[in-house]
Order: sequence, then C-alpha cells, then structure tokens
Amino acid sequence: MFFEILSLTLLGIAVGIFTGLIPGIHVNNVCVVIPEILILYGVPAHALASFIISMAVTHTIVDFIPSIFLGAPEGATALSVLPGHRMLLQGKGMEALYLTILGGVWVTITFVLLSPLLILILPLFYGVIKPYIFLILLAILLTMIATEKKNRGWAFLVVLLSGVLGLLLWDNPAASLTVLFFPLFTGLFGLPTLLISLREKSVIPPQESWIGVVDKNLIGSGVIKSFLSSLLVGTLPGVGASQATVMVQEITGKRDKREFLISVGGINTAVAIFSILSIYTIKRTRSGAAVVISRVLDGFGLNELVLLVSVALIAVGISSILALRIGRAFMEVIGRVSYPKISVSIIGLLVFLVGFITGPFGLLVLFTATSLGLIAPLTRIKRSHLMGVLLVPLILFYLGVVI
Amino acid sequence: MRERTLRKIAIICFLAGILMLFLVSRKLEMESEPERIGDITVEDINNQVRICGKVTNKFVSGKGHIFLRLEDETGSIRAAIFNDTAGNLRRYGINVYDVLEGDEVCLRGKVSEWKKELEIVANWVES
Repeated sequence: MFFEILSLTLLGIAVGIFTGLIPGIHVNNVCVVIPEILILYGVPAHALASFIISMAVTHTIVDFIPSIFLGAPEGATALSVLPGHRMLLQGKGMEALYLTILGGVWVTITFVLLSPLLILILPLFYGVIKPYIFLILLAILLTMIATEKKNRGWAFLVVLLSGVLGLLLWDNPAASLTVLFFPLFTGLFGLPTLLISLREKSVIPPQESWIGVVDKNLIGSGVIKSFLSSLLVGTLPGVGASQATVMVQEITGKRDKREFLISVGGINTAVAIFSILSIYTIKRTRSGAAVVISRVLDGFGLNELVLLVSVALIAVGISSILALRIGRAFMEVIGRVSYPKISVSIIGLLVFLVGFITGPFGLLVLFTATSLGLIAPLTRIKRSHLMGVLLVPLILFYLGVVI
Repeated sequence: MRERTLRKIAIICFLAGILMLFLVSRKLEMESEPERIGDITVEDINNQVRICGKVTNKFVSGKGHIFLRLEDETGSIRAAIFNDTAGNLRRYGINVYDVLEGDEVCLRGKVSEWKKELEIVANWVES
C-alpha cells in the first residue's frame, strides 16, 4: 500500500505542476476526469485520494509562476499579480515567487504542528462564526471603499459594476462560475496588467537570480494572517481563497508587498489543506478536491487525515524545490525575449485558451471583465475593488437574496 | 530566511511526510481486512465494502448480468455484477463469466437492498 500511495502521490505532483503552469486549467477540472480513469484501473481509494491532494497542493505552489511572470492569474492568485508583476519590473520576479513559496511551506508546517488543536477548535469556530459571515464580508467591502482616499466614487462604481458582473455569472446556465473563473480573473487582473505594461512600454530588466534574506518576523506575520484567513475559507461555504486574500489585504492594509505575497502564497496552500481537515472535523467539503476525496473514501477517520497530511507534506516539499527551478527557467526565457513581444504573445495565448476552454461565452466574459479591469489602474484606485465580483454575490447569498 | 534554508526545510517536510506515510499506510493495510459477510447489515446500505468468500451459486441473465451468492464462515450474501461492469473488468483481463461455483473470490462494491435482501453491487472483482 505504501508504494501504491507514494507512486500516486508523485503522479499527483506531476499533474499538479502541469495544471499550475498552464493558465486556465484548474484542479477542479482535473478532479472530475482523472479519478474516474484511475478507478477503472482499480486504483485503491486511499491512493486515489492521495493523488488528488498532492495534485491540489502542488497546484497551489506552482500557480504563482504564470501569475507573476506572465500576469495570468486565477481566482486565488489574482491579487498577487500586481505586487508580483511590480517586483518583476524591478528585476525581482524570482524573489516574488520565493515569497509565495515561503508562505505555502510555512503555512503547511504550521498546520501540521497545530492540527491536534485545530481538530478541537474548528467545530466550535464553525458554529460561532457562521451566522455573522455576511456581516464580516459586508464590513470588508465597506472598508475597501472607505479606505480609498481620493477616488471613492470610482471605487464604489467599480465595486458595483463588478458585483453586477458577478451576479450575472452566479448560477449562470451557460457555464459554472468555477469554469468562468479563468476568463473572469484573466480579464479583471491579467489582461489589464499586460495592456497597461504595453501602453507604458514597460521593460523587464535583467532578473536577479539571487534572492535576499527574508526577515523572520515578516514570514511570521504573513503566515499567521494567512493561517487565520484560511480558517474562514476552510469552514465556511462559498468563501474561497480569493475572498480570504481580500480580507488579508484589507486587514493588513498591504503595508508591505513582501508580507502580502507571503500571505497570498500561504492562503492558497492553506485552503487546500484546511479542506481536508474540514472533512474530518465538521464533515463538510469546502473545495472541489475535498468533494472528490469524500466520495472516493468509504469513511474519513484519523488514519485518512494523517495519510493526507503526510501526502501534503511530501507534495509541498517536492513542489517548492521544483517551483524555484521552474521559476528560474521562466526568468531566463523572459530575460532573452523582448517584453512587448512576450506581452502580445501572452495576450494572444490567453485569448486563445479562453476561447478553447470556455467558448464564445467565455470570450464575452473576458472582454467585459477586461474593460472593467482597466478602470481600476486608469483611475488609480486599488484593484482589490474588482473582487466585488465575488463579494457582492456572496453577501447576497448569505442574506438569502440569491441562491 | 535564505533560499538554502527553505530548501532544507522542504527536504525535512518531504522526509517527515514519507515517514508518516509509511507508518499510516501500514496501519491502513492492517485495518483493510475484508469485511465478514455476517457483519454486513442494513446500516451499511450505500457503503463500499470488500468481501471474500466461496461462490455457492451463479446465475447469468439473458442480458449478461451475473448474480453470485458468496459465502464465508459468518454467512452468505447475493452479489450482482452488471454487464457493463463485467465488460469493464474484461478490459483489465478479469473475466467474471469464468467464475465457477466453488471458486474463492473477493469483490468490492456498494451494499444495497433488493427484494428485502441485502446484496452487493460489485464494481471490482478479484478472483
């Protein structure tokens, strides 16, 4: 059984690297297809669950590479585009990637060390906070607008318009919101970044391969923030890594972009790991991967929890080292080619992938989201207002207005 | 923290994960003995189980569905292997149609109820 599980864990890491590197391929898409194939081959349930979790965890470590180097994000990494891209334009793309990996690794270690305590706390936390989640989200949304000092009117308009866009896509018969995340976030955060870079004739300077020493206090505060935000994501329905990222950004006020990148990296991985704990403690599934795992396994006891945590540790260990290597390879390629050419090629690739994966409706979403996404940088307001696309429908969902 | 330190931590994570995995997989292996047929009750309906026993009766319907009765020292139970499952298994070199009365087989499947009797709808057969 050990070698069966280990082999499937390594296979999961390989697939996770692929899904993480290719913009638009989400773990949830793969979760629907590959387990079905593996079941047919008689792969035991525990090995299958290990495959899913190693793929999900690896994806969360690797998916910052396209986000930072190509400006092609997905929901969970969307807000990392701006600070990540800014560091890339300062020649510190590799450091930006390193910070997100640091967050992912340390949040996993924190989770493993605190898991006995979390088993006790999580059910209590779930019971206490559930009735107040819409108030928390509403407070975040209002704080976002209120903290915009100069262009509060534009901020309100962007939140409103992105909220309307989110509502139009919520439960849309044309495609599920998870499928539409790709055109939506590419449009809101990815393409505007690339278009503005083109307009400003940005030049990618030679990238520094050497990464400086990151202050331990910075890592500590970034990881604690991401860990606490992930508690919400892991327990509450509808709250994803992207909403947790907005919370972190609002709570921290994004005082330090390095700390912010550590937090975002931490949240992304923590959400994948917390969803395992949620199956065990509150018997709820909080991610696509968790849904498939709970279907595959007959029961979910302490053995299964320990198994999947150990798989997560293996996945984090291997994928963090590989992500640094892959990041350096990206850095070398980007350094050789002219940035406008790269930007135009990436824009073309993203439009093609959106059309290929999500069809004409996805292209319409991409066009609308890009138009909306350009307002924020052009009016010089914070891009996190665009997260109204998820926050507004979610607040209305918790109020019972939309189902 | 330096990159070299992160690499060391990543390797420690990997080794700790391997050690934990080794210990827990041994524990799971010991606990994954086949279920005793007599222990399966209505409370197991919709649960996946793995049972092993002797085939005491075999019937193949006109549509190619296979119905077995499996018996161990604790009791007996009906098992249904539908033609699509049998077809899938054949692709992996398992011909369920070759199973004979008196053979010892193990199968995995979901517990269900048919005509007020418990049965296993098999999705995998080990002969």
